[in-house]
Amino acid sequence: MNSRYAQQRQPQSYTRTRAWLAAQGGWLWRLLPKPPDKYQTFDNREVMTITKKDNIKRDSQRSSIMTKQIFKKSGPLLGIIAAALIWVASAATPADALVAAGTTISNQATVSYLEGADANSNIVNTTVNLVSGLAWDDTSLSPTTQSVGSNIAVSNYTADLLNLGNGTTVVTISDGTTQNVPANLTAGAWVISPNNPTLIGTVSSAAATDNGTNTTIPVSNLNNATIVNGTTQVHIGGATGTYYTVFSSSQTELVVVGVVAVPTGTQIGEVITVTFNGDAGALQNSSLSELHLHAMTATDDIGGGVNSDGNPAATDTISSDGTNLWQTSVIAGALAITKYVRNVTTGNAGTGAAFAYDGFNYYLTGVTGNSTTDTLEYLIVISNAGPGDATDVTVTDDINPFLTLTTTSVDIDTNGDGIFDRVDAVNNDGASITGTVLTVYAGVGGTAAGTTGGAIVFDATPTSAVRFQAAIQ
Amino acid sequence: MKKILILTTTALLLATTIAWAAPKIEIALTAEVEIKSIVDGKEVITRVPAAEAKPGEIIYYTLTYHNSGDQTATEVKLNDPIPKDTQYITGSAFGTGAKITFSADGGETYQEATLVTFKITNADGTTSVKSASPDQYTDIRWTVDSIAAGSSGTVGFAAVVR
Repeated sequence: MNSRYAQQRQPQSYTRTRAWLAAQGGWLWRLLPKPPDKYQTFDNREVMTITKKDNIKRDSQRSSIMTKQIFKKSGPLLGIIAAALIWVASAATPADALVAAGTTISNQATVSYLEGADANSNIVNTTVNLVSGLAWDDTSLSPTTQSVGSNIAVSNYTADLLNLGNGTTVVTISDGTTQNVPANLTAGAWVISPNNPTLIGTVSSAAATDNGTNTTIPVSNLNNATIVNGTTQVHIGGATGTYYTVFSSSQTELVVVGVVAVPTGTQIGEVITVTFNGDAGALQNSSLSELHLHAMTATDDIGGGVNSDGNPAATDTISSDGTNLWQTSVIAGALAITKYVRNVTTGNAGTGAAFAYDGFNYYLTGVTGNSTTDTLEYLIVISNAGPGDATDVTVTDDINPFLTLTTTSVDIDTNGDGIFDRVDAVNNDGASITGTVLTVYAGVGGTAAGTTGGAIVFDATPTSAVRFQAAIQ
Repeated sequence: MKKILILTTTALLLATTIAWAAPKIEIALTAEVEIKSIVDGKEVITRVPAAEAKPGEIIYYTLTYHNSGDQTATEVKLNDPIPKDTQYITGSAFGTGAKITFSADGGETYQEATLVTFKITNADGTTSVKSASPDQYTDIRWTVDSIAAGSSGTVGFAAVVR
């Protein structure tokens, strides 16, 4: 009889339970009132004072020193009591989990007296309600940052959300993204998936058993309607990083794939990976670089705000908080264009330093030519000073009326590697001529038929070039 | 035949008299939780029956006793196990005129607070006696020396839902 109770009610300390809950994150631990700084007898006579701030350690030496000090000050009886209290404070204490939602707490008193038969009181039953414990695993956020162009799709961000409550709950996840300078960046359009997930939660009612492949965890009142065998993932005791796939379930049993030790009273809850993506929004006011500061808040159907009993709302937010940076950088390119020329016929040098490209020297000024006999070649170099890439880049040049464009001479070096990879662009979907105006769809992937320019990535070196020849009339 | 009837009547009367001339302790148990509400801008705490409670909430158990007999009851022991899935709150037990003792072994033995012990069986089969902390208490006993006929009283304690 004694040993049965000893097994059921192992040494544990309220303070440690509270501390363990606090270590799990969230707010649940706040529900447990702060332990008293002073231990008192039940007639409110103070026997000794242990300041909790001292953080009593499991150190037998220290305990004995404390006991000795108390012996010295207070006499042997208080010393014994103090020794007992210090033992309690330093005992190894398995963490206590919550009671599963739906559990009935039952109480019945009895009375006995000398002159009559024993009597029982009525039975009072109290049903344990759901408390939520939604928690993002902040370290699971991946990636933490992305960099995209204006109005460009943002790839998936993912983060794990854990149910650390004592029952199954429905979660609403909302977007809390803001812009660092709202005037310079539109809001973007964000998609969170899944949006209203149901996360199962329960507490083990006895120690789990395993068959070497799967672990069977006894539970009570498990609301398992949304479990998908082979897919649903659960955490064991709030541990992050290692999750177990549900093999099968019933209201009284949860079987997970793999072998794991699950003591009585362990919280078990569903873990989902939430995906966040969308459109980056548009840069405004010629801004070249702005940030979206992302945040997602999970709230469950217990309700927001402060509950009637004064408990805080069941919410948790994952966001850029200094330690867990989560942001999308929206950046644009800053293009610069420089036009050079060389005399193809005479090859004479201009003034100033020559600019060599694809084996020829070009000049900004000083190149001369003879009417009717000479042909000039123009080189237009486009560079992108960043910080972002440029898209839909087109170059237009109104040809001087004293020149005649050689239409087959328009070549494009699409990626700035010094090789003109798109030769005779006018006849190969890379350029068009309207009157005297030459329009070149520069960069990578430009198309004249689609009237869409190509992309020029941010790069320190020239990133695209166009050349064409024209005869002097 | 008549004799038997008289005897029976006498016996019945006697039985009734004996039953009536005795103490009879009746007990009733309530469980309540506190609810905070704002009335006229002030926080008001009221207690309502604890049909439901959340982990971390405190359930206040109140045991009312009444001697409906016509004689004084003596050596009255009111026992209440601390319900499974709850934890006794240190210092919460009350009972005017009652001696309050606690058990950490399921009601086998009762001791005054701070002297409560329980036994554990070690791996080698020996047993050790350990001091119990209030969160390990399993049962509470209120001992009242005497309860006069017609009088009543209340005892109680509080436990937090694990």
